[in-house]
Amino acid sequence: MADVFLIIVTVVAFFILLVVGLYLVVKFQHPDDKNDAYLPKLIVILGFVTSGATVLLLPLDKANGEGYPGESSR
Amino acid sequence: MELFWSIMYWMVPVFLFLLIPFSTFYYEADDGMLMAGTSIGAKPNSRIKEALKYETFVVVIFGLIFAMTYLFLNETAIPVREVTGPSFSMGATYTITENSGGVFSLTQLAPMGDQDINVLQLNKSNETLGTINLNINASAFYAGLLAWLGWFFFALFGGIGLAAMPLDLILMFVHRPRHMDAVEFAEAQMSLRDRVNELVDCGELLKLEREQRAQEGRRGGFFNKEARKQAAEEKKTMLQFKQAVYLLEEDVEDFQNCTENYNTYNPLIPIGGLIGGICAFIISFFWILHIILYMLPETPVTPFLNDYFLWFDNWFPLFGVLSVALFSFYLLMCAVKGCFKFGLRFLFFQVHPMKYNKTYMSSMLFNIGLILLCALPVVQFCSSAFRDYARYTTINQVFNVQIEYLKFFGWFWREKVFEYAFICINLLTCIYLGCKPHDNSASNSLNLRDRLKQRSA
Repeated sequence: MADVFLIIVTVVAFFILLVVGLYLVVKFQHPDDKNDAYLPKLIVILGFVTSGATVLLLPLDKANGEGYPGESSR
Repeated sequence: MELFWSIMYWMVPVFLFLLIPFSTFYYEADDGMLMAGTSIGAKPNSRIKEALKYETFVVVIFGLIFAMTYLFLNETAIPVREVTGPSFSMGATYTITENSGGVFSLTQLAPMGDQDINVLQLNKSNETLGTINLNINASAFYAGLLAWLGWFFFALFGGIGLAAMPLDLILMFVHRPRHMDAVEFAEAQMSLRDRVNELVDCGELLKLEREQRAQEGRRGGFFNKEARKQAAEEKKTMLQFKQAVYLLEEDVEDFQNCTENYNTYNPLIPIGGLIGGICAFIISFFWILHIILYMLPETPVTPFLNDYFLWFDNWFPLFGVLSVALFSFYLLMCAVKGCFKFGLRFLFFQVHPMKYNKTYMSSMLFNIGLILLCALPVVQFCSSAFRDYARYTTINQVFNVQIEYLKFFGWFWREKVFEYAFICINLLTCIYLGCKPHDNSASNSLNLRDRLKQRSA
C-alpha cells in the first residue's frame, strides 16, 4: 500500500535538513550569543528546514504518483 | 499531497510575517535594566510585551496587504479548448464469437470500418480557445503572491549563486592554506609589530598636534583661509590614519587566523571543495542550458532535462525523482550562497552580512527570512522547468495552471520576465567573477605575506 522506501527517504531528508540548519547556526553564531538566544536559533533552524522541505516537496509530489485529485492510478 | 502543499503554503508566510519578526523584536527588545543602572525600584520592561507591540504593527500592515490583494487580484482566466463528441450510442456495435479456449485474442475483433470513421469525424474541437474565469482559494493565491514577491530576490540571489557556487568551491581548493616557512613567519610578525609601533607613534603625534591647535585658540574660523586649510589637512591625515589602522587590524586578524588555525586545519575540506566544485559546475551548466533550451523560447527547442529524467526512471523507479530533488535543492543552495555572498545591499554596503563566528541572531533571522522568500520561487521555477516530467503532480495544477493565468501576477510568468532577469544576472555575475574572482585570503598565508611586504614598504 504505502511505499516504504519513499517514507524512509522523506524522514532521512528531514533529518539531514535539520542537521544542516544546526550547522549553519553553530558556524555563524557570534560568541556573545553562545548560550543565550535560544528562540531565534530555533526559528532559524526551523526556517531553514521549512524552506528545504518546500523545495523538496516537488520531487516528493512526483514520486507519490498520486495524479490529479480525483484521478486514481490503477 | 494537497494537504502537504497547503501546510507549506501557510508555513512560509507564518514564518515570514509572524515568527521571524517576533523573534527579531524579542531578541532586540531592551528590558531597560542596563540603562536603569543601580537605581532603586527599577523594574525590567517585559520583553515579550514590547515584541508583541511591534509584531502587531507588522501583522496589521501585512494583513491589510494580503487582504487587499486577495480581494482584488484573485481571478484567474484559464484558457480552455472546447471539444464536443457524439454519445456512445452512436458508435458501431460489434459482436465477438466465443473462443473455445475461453481466452480473448485480438483476432476476434473485426477491424474498424466506415461507421467508426464517421463517428470519429463527428468529434469537433473549437478552433478558438475559450477561457474559464475562476476565483482560486486563499492558500493557492498566497502561494502565488509570495512566489511573485520572492522572485525579485531569487532572480538576484539565485542568478548570483548559480555562477558563484562552482567558482567559490573550486577557489576553496586553489587558495587552500599553504605552509609559510619559519623565516617568512618571523618576517611577517616583525613587520606587523613595526607597523603597530609606527601607527601608535603617529597617533600620539596627531594628538599632540590637535592639543597644540586647540591651545592656540581659534582665530577667524570660516573666513580665515589659513585656519580652513589647516582643518582640511588635519581631516585628511585623520582619514589616512584611520585607514591605516583598519588595514592593520585586518592583517593582524588574518595573521592570527593563519597561525592559530594550524592545529584545527582539516586538509580534506579543500579536496571536498574541489569535488563539490566540479559537480556544482556540471549542475550549473545543465541548468543554464535547460533554461535557454526549454524555458526561454516560445516553443521549447528540446525537452532536454525532462527527457533525461524520464529516461532515468527506467533504470530505477526513484532515480529520476532523486535527480529532480538534486537539481531543485541545488537551486535553493545557490539562492543561499547568493544571499550570503551578496546579501541585501543598500548603497553598496551590506545590510545584515553573514560572517563566520561574527553574526548576531538578528542578521541570521533576516537572512533566513530572505531564503524562505526564495523557497516558493524555486518551486515555481522547477515546476515550470520540469513541466513534462511533473505532469501529474498536484503542484502542476496550482502553479502551471491556476497561478500562471492570474489577472495581474500571471503576466510576469507568461512573459517570462523573471527567467530573463535570472539569466541576465547570471551572465553578469559570470563576467564579474571572471574578471575579479573573490579572493578570500583569510587563510592564505602566502598571499598575506605578499600583502604585508607591500604595505610595510
